[in-house]
Amino acid sequence: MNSEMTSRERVLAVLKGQIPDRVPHFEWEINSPVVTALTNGGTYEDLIELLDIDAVVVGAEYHKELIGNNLILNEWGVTSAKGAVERPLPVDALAPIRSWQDFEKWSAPDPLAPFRFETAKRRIKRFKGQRAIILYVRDVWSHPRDLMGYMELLIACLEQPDLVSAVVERCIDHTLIIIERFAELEAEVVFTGDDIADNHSTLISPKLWEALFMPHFRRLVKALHDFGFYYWKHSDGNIMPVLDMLVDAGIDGIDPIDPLGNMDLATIKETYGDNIAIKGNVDCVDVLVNGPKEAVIQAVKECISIAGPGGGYVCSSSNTIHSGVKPDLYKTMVEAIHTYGTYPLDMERLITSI
Amino acid sequence: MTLDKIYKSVLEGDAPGTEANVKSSLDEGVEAGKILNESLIAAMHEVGNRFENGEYYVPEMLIAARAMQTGLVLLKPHLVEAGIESAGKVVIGTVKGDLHDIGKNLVAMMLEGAGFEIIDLGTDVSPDQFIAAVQEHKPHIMGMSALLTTTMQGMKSTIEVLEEAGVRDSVKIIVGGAPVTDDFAKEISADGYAPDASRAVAVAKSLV
Repeated sequence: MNSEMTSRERVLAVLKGQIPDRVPHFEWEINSPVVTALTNGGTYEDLIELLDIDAVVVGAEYHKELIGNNLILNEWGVTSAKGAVERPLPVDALAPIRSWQDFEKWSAPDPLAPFRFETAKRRIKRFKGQRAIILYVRDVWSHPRDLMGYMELLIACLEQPDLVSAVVERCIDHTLIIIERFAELEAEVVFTGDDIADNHSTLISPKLWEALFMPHFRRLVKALHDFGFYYWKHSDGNIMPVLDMLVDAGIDGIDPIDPLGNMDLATIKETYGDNIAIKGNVDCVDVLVNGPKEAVIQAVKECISIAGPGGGYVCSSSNTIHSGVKPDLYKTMVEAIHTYGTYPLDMERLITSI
Repeated sequence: MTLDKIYKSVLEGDAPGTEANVKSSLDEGVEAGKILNESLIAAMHEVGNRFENGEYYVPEMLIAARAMQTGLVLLKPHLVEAGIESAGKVVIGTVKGDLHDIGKNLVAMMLEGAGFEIIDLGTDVSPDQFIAAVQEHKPHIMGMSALLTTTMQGMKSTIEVLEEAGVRDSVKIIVGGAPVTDDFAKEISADGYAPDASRAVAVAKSLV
């Protein structure tokens, strides 16, 4: 254990299965109202420094245009509707790919368009060497879902599997070029956030998942490793039916161990903790929304006491810092991780209720 | 015999087969109510069981529901003519500010498959729209869905608005969605909560 680790070293230690100086913390997404509130109008980058968050997330940018009052068309040809309190959601009825004819006419955006990397380059320049640079891309599910429509993709998995597979392959082709570019920019960790499960189970059967998506998933993971990236997979929900497949494919980390899907942090730590890094799972549905602060601190202590021993653990929310999270409660969570997450862990202090 | 075929075609998600078999049954003079209860509803009940048991996943549920709906379209005029009433009327929607619809759609399909009449208000449904639908359709049950922590509070405010409008006691309210829990349902004084589409059927049946 190194007592003077940088944030970057702390995150990489976890991915290497080593014990860092402190349980790291970062989030895949911190909603802008929370950023604004905590930084008095500052930026995501300012918040990273203010709260000493251990990783910064970067990604490729895609242009969007407003069409009509409420619709947004992106470079993928996906039309989304603006909701009152959430990010735009693709409109199934306007999905661009329904048939082989649609697919043959459709092409992915130019992955190397110069504007795609501008924000990421600025972030990388600011934090390189100090904090872990984590590249967000999509894996095998979310692009096809948006391109074919959610319900239509689910049905197509049964009725047009070859089309689904072709769509996934073309999207992965695009993603691999993005990844290669980010390898040149010296990002070190890739995270994908495609949600493949709900609270009940995976959306599709493990058998279909293996047949349709795992070949592409394995291709992605192999390419990521060939480029030198560590790879962290996120999915909401109960992913237990396919988790062995994901681990066997070579993922380096899993997130967020969704309590809503009855994913149990202790079970995941015990079963997979020797092989992959674990990130999660301070409740962001109730505790980080309603508090009080004491409940947040208690939740952090419980998570660290369960998953912290032996390292290999990042303490974070159970999904993202969404717009309903109270800024002060998020700050309390980060401070509690810093307070209680120093190695060697003080287990007596961690298991004592506040 | 054709009832068995209908049952099987729904389970397999075979919409054309369901349509053809329902037509055959009607042509043979089988009562519409019998076709509904012993093939379509029975099959969707089995779909729910298989979903709960992990034999079926969302795609299998979707194509079964699609097949069931194909048969139901053919049956409806005959059911009306025979004076057969639905298991109950359900107004359903995703709450204001939330555009997610797949969970709500699955619940609606499974309830329809259990013999309920569905009035689907869609997504981003305001409290006033829920009230208007309750006043217009006089449903037995009103279902609210939310996928987001931020929008599920809209369930509470919708129930409050129903109370203010004096129509809360005229309808049973069920809620669901990824962040929604039984505790939350109780906290906002909903009458029922179901963690998934399949179990929503049992909850709805218990309330009518």
